[in-house]
Amino acid sequence: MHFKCINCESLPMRLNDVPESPDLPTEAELEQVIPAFYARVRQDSMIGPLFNAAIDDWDHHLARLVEFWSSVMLSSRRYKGNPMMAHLRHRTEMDPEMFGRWLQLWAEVTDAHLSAEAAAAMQEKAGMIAQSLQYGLFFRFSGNQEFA
Amino acid sequence: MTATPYSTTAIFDENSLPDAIRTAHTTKGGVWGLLRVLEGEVNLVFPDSGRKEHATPQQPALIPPQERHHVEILGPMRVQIEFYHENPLLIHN
Repeated sequence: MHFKCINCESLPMRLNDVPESPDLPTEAELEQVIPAFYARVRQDSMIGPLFNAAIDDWDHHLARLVEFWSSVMLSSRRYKGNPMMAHLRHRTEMDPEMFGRWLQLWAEVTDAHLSAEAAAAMQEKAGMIAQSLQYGLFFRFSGNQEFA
Repeated sequence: MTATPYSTTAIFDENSLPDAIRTAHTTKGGVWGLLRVLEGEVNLVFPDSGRKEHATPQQPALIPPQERHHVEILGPMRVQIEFYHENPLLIHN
């Protein structure tokens, strides 16, 4: 059966499908911007304490985060973890305002370190992932909800 | 106020579900999907965040714009996907 979803967009499935693009960060840039971002997060009065309490080994964590961003931005498939499960462990300590603060800092640091195009792409993806995590953390469908 | 989909797919079962939906893809900007399960159950997987929504006839699953996702088949099922220009949950409430 042939099916073309007119409401959907197909995605490259492998790294080789993604040519290096000025609109995306490079691996080298990710290795700069991710540590810079978390250095800023750790100093923040709202979300810094949460991250400082949750993460023991920052070198290990930053390496995983570079893998994660390489996977979502460059389709490298380097990251093997599950962000949702990692965040669920800290669900009671988080609220939507903290996600907003994280995104605000993310915008500041990516704007400072990356081209405007790459920063915008990183910010768009981060916003989408933050939204997804919040759906998983804070939102539950009511079984009684009806739709048209 | 209730939401009205501007487009709806055919009804698919575990054999007819297109590869386009079984593998990672996204909706376009501004397009919200609502995965409705008519029979059985499926998982809707969002690989970037690791979120996995279990969808049943009582529990449809929301697909936000441009978030990479795919349907994971768990057994016999029938599903249909509705498309909206706005978040159907926010309109409803």
